[in-house]
Amino acid sequence: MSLNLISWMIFLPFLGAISQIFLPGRGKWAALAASILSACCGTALILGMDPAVSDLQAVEILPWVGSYSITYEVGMDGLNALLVLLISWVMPVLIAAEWKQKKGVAGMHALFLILQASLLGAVCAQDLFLVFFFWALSAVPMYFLIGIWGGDDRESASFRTLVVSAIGNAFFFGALILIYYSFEPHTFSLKELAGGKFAGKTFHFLDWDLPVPLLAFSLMSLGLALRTPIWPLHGWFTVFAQQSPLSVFVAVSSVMTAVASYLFVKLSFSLFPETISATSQGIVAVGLLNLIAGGLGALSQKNLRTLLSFVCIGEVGIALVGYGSLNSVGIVGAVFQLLSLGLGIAGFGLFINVLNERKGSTDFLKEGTGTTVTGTLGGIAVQAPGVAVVAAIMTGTLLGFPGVSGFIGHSLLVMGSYSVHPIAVVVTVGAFFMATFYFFTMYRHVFLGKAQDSSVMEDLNFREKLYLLPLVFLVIWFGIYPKPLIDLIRPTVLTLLSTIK
Amino acid sequence: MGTLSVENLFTLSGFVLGWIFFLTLFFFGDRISRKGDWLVWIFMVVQMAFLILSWRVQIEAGWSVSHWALSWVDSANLDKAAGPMGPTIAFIRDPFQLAVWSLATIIFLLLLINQEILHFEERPEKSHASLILGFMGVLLCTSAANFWTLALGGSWVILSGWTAFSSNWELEREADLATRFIREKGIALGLLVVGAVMVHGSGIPLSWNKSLIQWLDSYPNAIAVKVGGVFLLMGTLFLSGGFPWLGWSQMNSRQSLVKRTLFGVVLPSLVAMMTLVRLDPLFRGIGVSHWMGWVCLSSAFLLALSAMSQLKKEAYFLQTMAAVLSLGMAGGFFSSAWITASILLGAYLIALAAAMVLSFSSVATAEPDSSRVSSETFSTVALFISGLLIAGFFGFVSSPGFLKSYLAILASDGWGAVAFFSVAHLMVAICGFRMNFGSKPAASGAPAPVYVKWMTALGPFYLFILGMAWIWTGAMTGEIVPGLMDQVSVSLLDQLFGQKSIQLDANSAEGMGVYWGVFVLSFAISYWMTRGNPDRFEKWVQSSPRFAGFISEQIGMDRLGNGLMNLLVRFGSAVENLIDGFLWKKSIPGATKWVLRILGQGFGRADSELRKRIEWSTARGFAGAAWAVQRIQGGKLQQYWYLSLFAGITLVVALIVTRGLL
Repeated sequence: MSLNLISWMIFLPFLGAISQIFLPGRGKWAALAASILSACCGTALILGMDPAVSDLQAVEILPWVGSYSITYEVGMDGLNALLVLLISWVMPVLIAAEWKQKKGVAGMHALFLILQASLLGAVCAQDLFLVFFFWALSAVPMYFLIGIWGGDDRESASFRTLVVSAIGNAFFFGALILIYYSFEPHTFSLKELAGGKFAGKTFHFLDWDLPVPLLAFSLMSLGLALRTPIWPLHGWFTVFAQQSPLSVFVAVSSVMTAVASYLFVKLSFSLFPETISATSQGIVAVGLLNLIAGGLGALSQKNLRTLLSFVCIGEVGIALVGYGSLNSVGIVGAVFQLLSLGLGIAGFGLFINVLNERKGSTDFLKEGTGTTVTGTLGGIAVQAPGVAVVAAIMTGTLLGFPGVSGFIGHSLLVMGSYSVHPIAVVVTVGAFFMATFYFFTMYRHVFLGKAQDSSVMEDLNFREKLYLLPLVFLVIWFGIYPKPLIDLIRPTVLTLLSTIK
Repeated sequence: MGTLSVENLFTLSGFVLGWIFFLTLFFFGDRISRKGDWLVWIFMVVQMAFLILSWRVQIEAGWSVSHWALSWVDSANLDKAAGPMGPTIAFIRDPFQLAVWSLATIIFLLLLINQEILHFEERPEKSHASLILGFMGVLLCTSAANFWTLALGGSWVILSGWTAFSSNWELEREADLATRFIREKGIALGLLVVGAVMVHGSGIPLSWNKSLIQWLDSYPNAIAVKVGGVFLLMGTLFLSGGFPWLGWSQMNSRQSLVKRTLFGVVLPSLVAMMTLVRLDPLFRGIGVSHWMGWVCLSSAFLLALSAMSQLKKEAYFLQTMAAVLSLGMAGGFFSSAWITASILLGAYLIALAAAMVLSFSSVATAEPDSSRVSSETFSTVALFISGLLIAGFFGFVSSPGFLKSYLAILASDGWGAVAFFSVAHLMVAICGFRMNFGSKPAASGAPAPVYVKWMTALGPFYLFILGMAWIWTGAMTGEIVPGLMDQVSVSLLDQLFGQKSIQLDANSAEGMGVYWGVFVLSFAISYWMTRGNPDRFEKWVQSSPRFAGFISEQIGMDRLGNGLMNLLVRFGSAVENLIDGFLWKKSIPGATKWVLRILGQGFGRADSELRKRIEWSTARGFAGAAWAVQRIQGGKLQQYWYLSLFAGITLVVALIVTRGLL
C-alpha cells in the first residue's frame, strides 16, 4: 500500500509528533521539518490542481472499517484547498513562534503537530466519520496545550474548553448517527450522501416525526458552533483568549475557527441544501448578531487578547452573512475571507505574542479609565518599527483596507450579500465602521504616543522576521492578485450551489 | 480588456518603483543621506518622464480616450450578483487625467523644492515617504478607469496622510491627530465602498467608459442605485472635509500647516473630486445631485461659521479651505461637474499657497543674507491674492465656477436658493479676506524672524500663476464678462469637460450683480471686522465663549460624536458583562451547580431511604432464619439438633433392618 501526497501531508505531522519522543534535544528541528514538509506537500497539491475541474482532486480511498462502510477517503477541491493553504502556512509559524519555549517544548510541538494533522485531516476527509474522527481529535491537543502551558487559571480554562468541545462533539456525533441510519444503504461517504438525499425523511421520536435534514443540520450546526466562537456560546473563548499561550490562541482563532466555518459550509450545503435554502435568513441573522456583538465587545476592550477574541467573533459573523447570500459571489467572498481572516489573525496574534514577550503585558488601556488613558503599552512604533508595520498590515487586512487580502474577501462578500440581503449589508458596514474606531484606537495606544516605561524594546529579531514575513507576504499578495485563488474556489462553489438551485 | 500599452507599462513600473522607494524611506530613511530626499527627486523625475511620454502619446492619438484593464478579482464569471464587470484594475488616458496629473506633478515638485516649509519636524524621512505614497495615490486616482482602482488610490492617499501625521509619533498629540484623521477618512472611504457595492450590485459597472451611461439607461433597481449614489456622495463630502468631518483640524500639532493642508485637505479632497467628476453621469442620472447641492451648501455655511469662531490660526485656515471645497461642490451639484472641478482646482492652489505663506515664520531667520529676502511684503501680497481667490475674484480659475453657479442656481431654483448660496459665499469670502486683513506685525519688541529664502518666498506665486483663469479658460478674465473679447487661447476646461452647461449671455446681469455684490460686501465686512486688536472676530469669540466654542466644535457635533462612541463603548461593555460575566461566568455555572446539588441531594435522600428500607426488609425477611442460625451457632440448640439427627438415623436404620431392606 503506497500513500499519495495528500496522505503524506496529513500523516507527516503525526510522524513528527512521534519523533519528539525519540529525538530529545533535536526534536524542535524535527517538529519544524515535519510541519514544513507537510506544508510543502499541501502547497504542491494546490499548485497541481486544475482550476477548471470542480470535482475532487488528489483523491485517495482506502477501506477502514468495512462492516460499517467507513473508509479513509480524502481529497481536495477549491474550498478545502484554501484551508489547506491556511493550515499549512500558519502551523509551522506557530511552531517557530514557540521555539524558545522553556517548559516541555517537545510536548508542545508534538501537540501542535497533532493539531496540524487533525485539522488537515478534517478539511480533506470525504467520509463523514473520518471528518468527525479528525475534528474530534483536534480537541485533545487543545486541552493539554492550555492545561499545561496556559496562564494562572489554566486548569479551569482547559476544563471548560474540554467540556464545551465534548458537548459540541456529542452533538456532531448525534448528527452523524442520524445521517448514517437515515440513508439506505448505510454509508458515511459524503459523495453518496450529497445532493439533498434526506429530503422528506423523518425520525420518529415519541409521538413526533422530526424531519431528518433539519434535525441533523441543527445538531451539526450546534456542534460546530460550540467549538467556534459563536455569540452567545462564546463564553469559553474569551476565557481561552485570556488563559491560553498566544500561539495556541492563534491556532484556535485563526485556524480552528476557519476549519469549523468551512465544515459548516461544506457539510450543510452538500448534505442539506433544502434546509440551507430555508434557513438562510436565520444564518444571516446569526451572522449579524455575531457581527454586532463582536463589534460592541471589541469597542470596550482594554486588552489585546480579548480584543482579538471579539474581532474573531465578528469575523465569523461576516462569513455567516456571506454564506447566507446563497450566491457564488457571497460564498466565494466568505471562503476567501476565511483565509484572509486566518492569516490576519495569525499575524495579529503573533505580534501580540512579541509584545507580550518583550513587555510582559497586553493591556493597551488602563482598567476603568475609558478610552483615552494608555495602559502599559505605548510608543512602540519608535522602538520597534518592524512590529508596528506588521501590526499595521494585519490591522489593515482585518479592517478590509484596499491592497490587502481582507479587502477582497470583504468586498466580494458584501457585493454578493447585497443583492439578497441589503439591510444586512448596511449593518455589516456599520460594523466595519466600529472596527475602524477600535482598531485605530488600539493602534494609537499601543504604537503611537509616548512609551509608557523607560525599557528599550527590541524590534523583530531574525527568527520573528522569518516567521512573520511569510504571513505579511501572503496578505499583500492575495490582496493584490487574488485571481488564482478565486478561480480555484469558484467551480466548487458553483457545484455546491447547483444542488440548492 | 485592452492590451498593455507602453505608457501603462510605465505607469505600473512607476508604482512598483514608488512602493520600493516608499518602503525604503519609511524603514531606513533615517540612515540614508539627506534623509532620502534625493529618492523622492528620482521618483519625481521618473514620473515626469512618464508624464511627458503620456502627453506625447495622447497628442499623437488626437486626445482620444484609451482604456486598459487588468483583471484583479475577476468576478465577471461568478454570477450576475457581481454585476457585469467585477473589480478590476483599470487605467484610463484622457485629457482630464493628464491635466490633473500634470497639476499634481507641479505641486509636488514645488513642495519638494521648498521642502523645509513642508516638514520642519524631527522626522523628515517619514514625510518624504509620505510624499511618494501620496503622489502615487493621486496618480492612481487620476489614472483610474473604474471605482475600484480609484478606491485603491484613495486608500494610498489616506495612508500617506496617516504616515505623514504620525511621523512624530512619540508625541501624544501627533498620535491623536493621526488616529483621528485615519479613523474619519477611513469611514469616508468605507462610505464610498458601500455606495459602490450598492450601485455595482444593482448591475451598474462603476467604470467610466461608455458602459456607465449605457447601463444607467436600464438599471434594474432604482432605489438601491439611488441609496448607493447617496452613500458615494456622502463619502466624497466627508473625504473632502465637509461638515462635520474636520474636527481634527482643531487639534494641536507641531506639523507644518503646509503638510496638514496637503495631506489633510488637498489630497483627500482630490480623491473626492475625481469621484465626483468621473461619476457625474451617475449622480445626474439618479437625480440626487440637486439634493446634495443643498447638503454641500449647508456644509459650506457651517464650516465658514465654525472657522469664524476659531481662535487657532491653523484651524481657522483649514476650516475656511474646507468651506471653499464644500461651496465648490455645491456649485457643481447645482450645475455641472466642471464647475466643481474648476473651483476645487483653484481651492487646492489657494490652500497650498496660503499655507506656505502662513508657514513663513516657521522657517524664517532674523538675520538677512544674500539668499534670503524679507517675507513681509510677499506675505501681504500673497495673502491678499489668496483672499481674492477664495472669494472667487475674476482672473482666477474659480471665478467662472462661482459666477456660473449663481446663474445655474438662479435658473433652476430661483432667488431663494441664490440667497442661501450667496450667504454661504459671503461668509467664505469674509473668512478669505480676513487672512489678509488679519495679518498683523509682531507685537513684541524683539526682531521677528522674517527673512526667508527667495525660492520659498516665490513659492506661493507659482501656485497663483497656475491658478490664473487664462490657463484654464483661455480668457483673461476667466469668461466672466459676457461679450468681452478676451479669449487668448484654447480653454483647457472645454478640452477637459467638453461643452460647458452654462453659457454667459447678455441676460446674465442678475447673477453677475449678486456675484459682484457678494464680493464687494465681503471685502467691506471683512475689512471692518478685522479693525482693532483684538479684531471683532476675536471680540465676538471672547464675549460669548460658550456659544463660540459650541460653533467651533462643529455645532457640538464633535462632542456628540464622542458621546455616541462612548455610549457604544459602555453598551459593549455592558453586553459583555451581561453575557460573559453574568451569564457564562456566574449564572450558567451557578445554575448548573444548583441543579447538580438538588439532584445530588435528592438522590442522596432517596438513596438513604432506600438503604433503610432495604435494611428493614432484609432485617424482617431474614430475622427468623437468622435467629435460628444464631441459635444453632450459639450452641443452645445444637444438642437437640444432634439428638434429632441421631434419632432420625436410628429410625432409618431400624426401618431398614425390620423391613428387610438390606
